[in-house]
Amino acid sequence: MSFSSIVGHERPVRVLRRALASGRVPHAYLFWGPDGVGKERVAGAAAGALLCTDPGALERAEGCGACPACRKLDAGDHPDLHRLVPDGASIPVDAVRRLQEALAYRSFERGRKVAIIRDGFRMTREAANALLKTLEEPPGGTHIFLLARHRSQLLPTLVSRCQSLRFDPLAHDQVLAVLRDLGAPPEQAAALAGASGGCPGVVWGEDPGVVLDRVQEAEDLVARWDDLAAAERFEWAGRWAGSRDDLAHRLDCLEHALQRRMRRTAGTGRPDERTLDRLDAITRVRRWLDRNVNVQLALDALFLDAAGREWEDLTCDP
Amino acid sequence: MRIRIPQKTFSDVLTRAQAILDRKSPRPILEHVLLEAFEGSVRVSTTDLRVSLTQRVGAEIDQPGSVALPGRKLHEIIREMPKGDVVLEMKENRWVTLTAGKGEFHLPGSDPDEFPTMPSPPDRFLQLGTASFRTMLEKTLFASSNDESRMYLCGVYIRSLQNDAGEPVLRMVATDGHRLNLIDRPVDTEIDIFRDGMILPKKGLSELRSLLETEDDQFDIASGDGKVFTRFDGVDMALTLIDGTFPNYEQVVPPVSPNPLVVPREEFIQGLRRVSLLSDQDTHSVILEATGDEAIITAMNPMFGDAREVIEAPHDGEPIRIAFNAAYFLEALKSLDGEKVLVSVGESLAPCLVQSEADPRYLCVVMPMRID
Ligand SMILES: [Zn+2]
Repeated sequence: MSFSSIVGHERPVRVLRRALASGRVPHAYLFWGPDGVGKERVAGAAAGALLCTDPGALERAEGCGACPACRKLDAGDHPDLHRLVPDGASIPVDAVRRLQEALAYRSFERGRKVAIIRDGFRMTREAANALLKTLEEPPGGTHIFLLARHRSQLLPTLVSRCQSLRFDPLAHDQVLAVLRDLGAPPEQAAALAGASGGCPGVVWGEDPGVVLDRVQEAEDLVARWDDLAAAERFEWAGRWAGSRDDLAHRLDCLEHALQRRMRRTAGTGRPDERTLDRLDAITRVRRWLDRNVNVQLALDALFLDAAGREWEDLTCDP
Repeated sequence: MRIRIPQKTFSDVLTRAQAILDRKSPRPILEHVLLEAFEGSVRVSTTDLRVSLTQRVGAEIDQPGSVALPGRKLHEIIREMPKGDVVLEMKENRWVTLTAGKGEFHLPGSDPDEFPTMPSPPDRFLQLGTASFRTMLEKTLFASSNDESRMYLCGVYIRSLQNDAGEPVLRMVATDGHRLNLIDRPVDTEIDIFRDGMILPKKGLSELRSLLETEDDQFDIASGDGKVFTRFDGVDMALTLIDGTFPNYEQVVPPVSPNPLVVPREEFIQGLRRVSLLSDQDTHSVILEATGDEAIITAMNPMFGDAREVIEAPHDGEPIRIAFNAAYFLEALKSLDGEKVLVSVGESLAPCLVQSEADPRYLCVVMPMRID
């Protein structure tokens, strides 16, 4: 993974490369932006520049792609790149402790150490507090990339210890370019890009037919939503709750469809309160999904347009 | 790749490799051993990225080559094979066939390039005395911590320096925050690789300690790239250093009292052992009192009754009354040599120093507990 192969994300890439080239690289970065937008690819490119053994790599802010370290990074098994990925819905404190133990040693190859924490917002409170200790007293030559959807999902004390970089959804052409780089056939790439909401990672590897069906489903729903009877709404909620694997993507598609509707109605001068409420409700379903709590309830509330904040306070948070 | 190797030799090498195999790593390749067959010998490598071990053994090499094999399975198979030669041959798709007598086993091999590159030692090695280094490890390792949230205590601090008499010494220090052990041993010349001090991890040092049970007087040691390398008997070991600063231990070590309590070591051990049987199971807290010619040990929070041991122990200083963890004290006493130990007690709750008359360069410090 190199910066030259990254499509889009000009601003975060520029900020990162400037820091790398200066040799003064912060100990911790927070990359925040939607799922599948490319945060991990950019973190991988930064790791490449940091771990490459070519003497000019840091100054160039780019790994050479040819040295043993770069080859190991490409193969995904560099001993000084530590990846922390959620185990199901959460990152438990034990996982953070294991990472800390690994970082407490000097690097195995002769250089720096890099840790990439995917979905950092999934850390339990205990895990986040444990990580805070590392960010407060970072081990020498260590760089941590914390990835999350939004800054507000993390402890403010964690956020304040990191340099934040925002990742925005890519333009249609850029998604198309990423998907083509990944090897998607052109006709599929176009369909997938249209359904990606600017986040190639969301659709990459999906069946284009299925993805397009979901986009169509979301458009239909947005068009007919106001006229649906209560029984039909429960049916929608039940169907979505029953397919947990696809739910995240269905929610993405619905969110995009609602955003398109917002843009269409933007000129009318009348705020579309109902659409805004529905967008809020989607955020809430996602939060419940992340916490692995009763998603059915949140979906019922979404489809019934009943998801007020008070209602959530009553039923969810302890 | 095709090699022929005596079963016993192969089994011994793999037994040693087992200690290093990583069983909880997210990197499956670390559960493998790397076999590399060159002219006349096989190199067997294992690493958990903290301890890396390369063993060289003689073998008949019909065809050179290399492969990574699942370490535990390989060991289980070789261990159970009949005495005599084992033939290891790599077939298509890195499947490896192991044959001995009438038995034949097949194991899936992995690409040796996936295996981490074993650390390469520097050119220059120094020689150290095996027995002395092993003794130093034995007297410190047990006092190091297992608390992974303070990794800088989960090892032994090694440093070379000049002692107060201006002689070059090698020093090892270990502490878990409740006790601290410090040992100095004279060396011929300053060991420059340890001049700045370094923290070596406990697991690797335990492995090194058992490797040092050899008949060789000396072994080779070197340092570089954040690692310490040792070499002897065809075994190369690399220990990855622990990052971080070792605590300022000199502050913790109290001065030797002008009037220490002098206790016969063996009696002290036996007495403590008996009293601690009745002490609180979690804290193991016992009280030591000394006035005049007697030292008295009692359990602080007796669980099942009263315990009291009286030991003859001359003491000229102020009366002593301190509480401490009997388990820590016992470990310290057992690690000391000589017939008599000197116990220096300062202010209440100040660290307590235990040493042997016979070896003033080995210090055990135990933190006392509050008496309730
Ligand atoms: Zn490189």
